[in-house]
Amino acid sequence: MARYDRIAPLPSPPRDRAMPSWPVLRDLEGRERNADLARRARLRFLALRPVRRLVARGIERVPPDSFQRQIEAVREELSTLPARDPERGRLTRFLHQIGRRTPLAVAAATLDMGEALEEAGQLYAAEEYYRTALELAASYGLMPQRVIAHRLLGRVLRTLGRGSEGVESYRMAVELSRMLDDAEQWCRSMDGLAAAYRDQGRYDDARRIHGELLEQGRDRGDAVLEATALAGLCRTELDAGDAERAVDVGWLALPRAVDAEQRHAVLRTLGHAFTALGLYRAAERCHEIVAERTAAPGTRARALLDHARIAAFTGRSDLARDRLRQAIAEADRHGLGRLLGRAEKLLSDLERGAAGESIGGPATATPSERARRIAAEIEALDPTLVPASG
Amino acid sequence: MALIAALLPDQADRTSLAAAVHPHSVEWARDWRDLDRVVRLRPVQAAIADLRAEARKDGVLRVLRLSQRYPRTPIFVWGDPDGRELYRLGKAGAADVIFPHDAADGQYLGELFEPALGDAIAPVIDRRLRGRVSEAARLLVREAAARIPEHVQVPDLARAYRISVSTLERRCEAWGLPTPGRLLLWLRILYGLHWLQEPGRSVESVASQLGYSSGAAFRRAIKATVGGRPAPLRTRSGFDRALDLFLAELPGDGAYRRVSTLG
Repeated sequence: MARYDRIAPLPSPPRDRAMPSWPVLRDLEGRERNADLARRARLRFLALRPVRRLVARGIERVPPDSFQRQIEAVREELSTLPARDPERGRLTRFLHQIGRRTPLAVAAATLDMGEALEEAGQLYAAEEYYRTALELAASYGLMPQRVIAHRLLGRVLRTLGRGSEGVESYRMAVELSRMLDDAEQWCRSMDGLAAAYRDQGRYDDARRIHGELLEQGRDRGDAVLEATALAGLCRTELDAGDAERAVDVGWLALPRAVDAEQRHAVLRTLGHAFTALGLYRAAERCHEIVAERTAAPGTRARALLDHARIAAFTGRSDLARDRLRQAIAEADRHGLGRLLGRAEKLLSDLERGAAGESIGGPATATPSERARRIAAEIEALDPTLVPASG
Repeated sequence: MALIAALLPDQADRTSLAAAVHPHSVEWARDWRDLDRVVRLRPVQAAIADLRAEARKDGVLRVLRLSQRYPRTPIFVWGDPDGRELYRLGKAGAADVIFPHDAADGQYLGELFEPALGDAIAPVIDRRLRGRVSEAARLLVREAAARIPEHVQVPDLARAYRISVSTLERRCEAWGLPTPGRLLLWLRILYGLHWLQEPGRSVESVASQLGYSSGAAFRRAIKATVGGRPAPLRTRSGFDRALDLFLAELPGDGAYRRVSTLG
């Protein structure tokens, strides 16, 4: 094959003109010669094809024996992955679930697989799985799955940097969940919509959405709505550049968090806010607690990475290296590709003495008395009092 | 019945394909160059190629060239590409891939090819005829259109209806259609202009696909219907303009004329 690939510089075809399931392979963009990634992308592509077939033809028009043969052929291909590879297990489960051939089972399995791929940083694959699940859910009138698919699609589009598409998806999720009167999905969709606005720098829109959530929460006496609004608002204030306000709101949100993962998310945001204020010991404490207590591998790896950044910035290279190695091990064990890449890059920066560049200096040289008081309370926080997740 | 151009050196693959696409017919190509020739000269609706049909040739690059020359002809790939090849195939414009494990499943193969083997032009014409002529007239146009790639002539059409040519002419008049000869002329022009949108096809090759004796004869037919030369018509708007002119030439039958006058 020619050394110069004439196909690589070509633009990717739009989804409606690409071969079915092909967008899954876009995670190879710029990494076409990564043999392991190519093998995995191929398996994800093959695994989604039976679902695309059901979407294109309709479940009732696909003969069960032909469908089972197709699934079996993909299952055989999975042997190209090591027996203990987490992705092999996930794909095996996925194939088993879609083999049930009910619209609900297939849509739910496709959404779950999309989430696993998103967590592993395979964003184009995740997007394609979500879109496929959405088409199936729309064809079979599965409203709750449509809501979830729109919401997850909004999230992955945000991460892919396609903010306006993300906003549209979240809006659909908000509308449909309102129609369904599904408070939980409505809350999560509103929170996602606010996050999408935040990404676009539309902080007032994000504040308005959080305000609506907070108001609804107070009116209905719904703790989940209230806690979600405060946690989101804390992040919005931080992104809008008001770290003092973020600390204030975060401190309000912390005791109201409805579950451990929400509490950990608030602690991470508080950690970032303290970093921006130059209150590094409190920031480190936040990330330490999260890394210790969370049950979510992605959250733990992120917290370790954040901790390492602060340690590197404050000149404690040994501690930073130790945290980065832990983060790398965690990301590697759970197939968290994007986090793994970030941790490896930071470690390599650290080795060449440039890690300090990856963390900004404090935004406010003189944090307020209130922020200092909250920081002191955080520093004294006993991790055993912060319930662990899982 | 559609025609498929295929480059499959393996006999077992040929057997599987022929069985899966029955009753459509397949014209076998010897190599990539021959596949290009078949697509250019014959009214094929889809092409299928084994990526490894020729050693030391980058099959994906050949697919890219075909899809650039014939963007309206779906190109299917037969084989077991790895992840990188699949990614490149998508960019190269392949319509789909038939993996070895799918090749034995005639049902699935049939499903994969079905959308590609449908007639893309007849439904477009039929949609525009709705409300202008009766259902019976539309059926006649649909049948005539479907047989354009087979070089159908007026007597063939009359025979399909088990009537004489003169009866067919009377029916066309009653249904508000042009004479059968003029109708077939227009349909040939519309199919020809559709194929001419593919840069890989020449006026000569399209003339041959339509059964004209030469490119000059096809040019004369264009002049007698749409007017002008074929070159400026090699776009979607050229096809649309020709379709508008064809519709303007339809007398329409009484009832449908009244409906269309009323809006």
